[in-house]
Amino acid sequence: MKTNLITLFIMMLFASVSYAQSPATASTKVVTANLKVYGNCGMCKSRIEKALDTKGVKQAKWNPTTKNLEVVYVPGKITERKIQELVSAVGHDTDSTKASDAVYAKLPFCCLYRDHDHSGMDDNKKHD
Amino acid sequence: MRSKKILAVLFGTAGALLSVHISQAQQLLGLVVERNENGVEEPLPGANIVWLGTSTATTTGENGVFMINRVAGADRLVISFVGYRSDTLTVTDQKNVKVTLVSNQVLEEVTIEGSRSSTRMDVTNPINTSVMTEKELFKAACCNLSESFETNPSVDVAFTDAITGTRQIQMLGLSGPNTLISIENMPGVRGLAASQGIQFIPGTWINSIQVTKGTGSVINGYESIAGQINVELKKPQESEKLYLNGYVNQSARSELNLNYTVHTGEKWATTFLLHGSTRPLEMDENDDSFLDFPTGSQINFINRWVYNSGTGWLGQVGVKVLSDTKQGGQLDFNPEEDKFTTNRYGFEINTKRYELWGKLGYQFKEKPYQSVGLQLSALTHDHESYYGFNVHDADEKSFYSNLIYQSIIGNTSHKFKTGVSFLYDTFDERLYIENGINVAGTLTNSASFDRTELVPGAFVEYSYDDLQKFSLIAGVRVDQHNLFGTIFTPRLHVKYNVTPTTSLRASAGKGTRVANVISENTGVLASSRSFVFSNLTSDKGYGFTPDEAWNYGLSLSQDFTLDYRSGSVQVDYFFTDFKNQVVLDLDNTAREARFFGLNGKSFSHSLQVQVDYELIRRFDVRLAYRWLKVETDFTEGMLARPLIPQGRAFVNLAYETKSAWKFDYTVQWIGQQRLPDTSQNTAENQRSEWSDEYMLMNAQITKDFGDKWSVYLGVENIGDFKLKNPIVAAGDPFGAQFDTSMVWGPIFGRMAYAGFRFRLK
Repeated sequence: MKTNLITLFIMMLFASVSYAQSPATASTKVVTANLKVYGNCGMCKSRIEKALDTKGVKQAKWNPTTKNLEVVYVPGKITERKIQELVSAVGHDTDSTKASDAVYAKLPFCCLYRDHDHSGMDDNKKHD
Repeated sequence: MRSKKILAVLFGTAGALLSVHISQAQQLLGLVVERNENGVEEPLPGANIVWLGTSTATTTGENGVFMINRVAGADRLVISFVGYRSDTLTVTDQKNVKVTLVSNQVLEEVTIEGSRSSTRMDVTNPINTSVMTEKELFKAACCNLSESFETNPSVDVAFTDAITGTRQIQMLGLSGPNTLISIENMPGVRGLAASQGIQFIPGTWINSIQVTKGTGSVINGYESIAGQINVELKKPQESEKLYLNGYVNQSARSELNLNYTVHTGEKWATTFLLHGSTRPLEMDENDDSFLDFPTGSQINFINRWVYNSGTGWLGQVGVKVLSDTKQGGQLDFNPEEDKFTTNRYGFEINTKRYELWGKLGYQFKEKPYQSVGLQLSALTHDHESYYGFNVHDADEKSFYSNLIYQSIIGNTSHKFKTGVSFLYDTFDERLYIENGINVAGTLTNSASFDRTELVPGAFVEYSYDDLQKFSLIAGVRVDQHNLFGTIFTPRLHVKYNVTPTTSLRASAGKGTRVANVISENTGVLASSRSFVFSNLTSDKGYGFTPDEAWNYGLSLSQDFTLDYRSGSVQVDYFFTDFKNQVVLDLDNTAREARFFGLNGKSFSHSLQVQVDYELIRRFDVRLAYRWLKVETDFTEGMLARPLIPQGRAFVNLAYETKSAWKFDYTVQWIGQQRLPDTSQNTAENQRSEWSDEYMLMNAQITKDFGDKWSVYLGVENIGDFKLKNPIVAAGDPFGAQFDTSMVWGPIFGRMAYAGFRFRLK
């Protein structure tokens, strides 16, 4: 019983690692793109990255200072244009898509990038 | 196919552009701000916006933004707010505007220095410490510190006996008190609290837990042998305004927690933490006539204040009040009629504890690396208990102070902390054992272990960090114990980053601890064993010199990224070697609980592997395996420590959907444990030499509704595994063979629970 359990455990460990590796080999087809996305602060960062938590996007990292979005995606599943649209849909402009005013108007104060540049601000602080 | 796609994209884009165009043609978007004392823009919510001469008006939202419909012919926009000078703008073809309103009171110039970080000790890198955040703690929603380590492979939690529901932690296979449990780096669960203390820290009060394996920092004293668990409670600075939590399980165990924070002005803030819980029902699932867990209730309250002068002074003061009652034993036991009779077997444990603590710190101007801090705490702990005819009553009064100065030598690569501490600890402790106490050959039924400890000490800790690859913490402390003489404590932690993702740690150090022999082994009080104190090594306290051990550790951690998701592997090995120890021997005879001063060897080897990986997005997997070899020279020779699982493995799966559903599942395997010898008992009261191994499963579902509400539902022990006869000789509790301390697994089976959390930021 005991050895069985240990074997089972090791198998699970192995399975999880090998499972994790198999998509990695398939992911040679992924593309890394760098896109300009406008925003200010850490709140923007989590909004942008959450919007890209979607099928076809492997990883999305946005830098509040450089406004650069580094996105790794699978071209067969999503397009760069679609990525930009997803970002704009939650309120952030890109170089080729614009967020609607209605969505922009609902952004928290620190994220109002069209009106001010708050990239140096302490994002953890609530603006009250 | 391709052209279709292009068409769709074109179409979509045209649509998007069109809608943007329309909305801009009809509405004006604007932002209203003011400038604060530092010239930084802040939003002005609630400002009034109106087109002059029309009834078209709106107000700004929380973020200072407004949207207003354009009105044909109106181009003068009035922005007003009580206490501010109104502004009028002429809007022609602008699509958005930004207005800064100016207060109509002339504010006096106020300069505020940049905020300083609180005096919280930085997480010292070379020490093997894992931090458990609230997110981790939420994986097991119930209920207090003793139940918070479900997903932490370094810490085991076990019942001390089959009737009191008391849990104790184990690290490196060593019983709870070998781990220093501190609260915000001040003494937390020690002294008399060793028996019940980890159940007195409600889960919702906890902000984070730092689990350190091996000896910790010398700043926190000489006591940690197996490790250190530091609990950070909710603090006024970072807490929600209001946090309400309710919990109930199928046995009607109920809890209510309320955290409330108020900022009273710029410099002061306070948090109230209130906990009430009850176990109202008598439950006996295994039909042995004994309650599976006691009935009882707990009221627990903290009020803490923090002060920040803004000029470098930081202060804290807090008070804690606790009252806890537990009652159990045989069904229908009624203390009024049955206490100290053979009608029914029963027990009560009543605890009252009051604590007062304070911290004062000063951070030197323009020297963020230099500070001085003072920690103070005072407490009284009153413990009253009886188990059948056995009685254990104890009072503790304790005072602790620690003064820490930290600065650098030359540059910030070389830091040091130094200071002095003082501990005053006085105990009034009385023990009555129905079947006798044998102190070095003298027979009696009652004994008292009154003692007063006075321990002044001093410490220095040097840390070096080359900011790239190598860092080190070397500490030493010397304490002068009034009963046990000089205690010398050297400790060393080293970390080397082989690559940016691979780090190697090593540690070595000594820990010393005055064992509170009875409080740490309350399980045997609920048995018919007589107590024997033999091979005494001192004439103070319980007759034993302090436990003393060297601990050596080695660990490797490797971070990796596979398929754009991160993970880590950690392997560690720890060896603890006791030079001195009070050993509880249950094997010499099944009729005695024999405490003796260690003659030979006592050690623990612990090897652990842990793998964490985000298998698919938002789906985290943790696999862990731990192997233990813990042996002691008992009177019968070298034996495995009883009731310590030789192995433990678990798999924790945590999945979170985008719509804020969280699923957690843990399955763990607990290996064989050696059971104390019962061969003298009659056949039906004998137990096998080794326990069975077993599996336990827990699952929980949590759903967040917005950022205020969350609701959870879970099941513990899904497989419904429980000990068939956890109590030896349950049918004859006043006979010679009765023993509740042989517990190696769950006493109650499957248990469903539900609860909610409500937060106001």
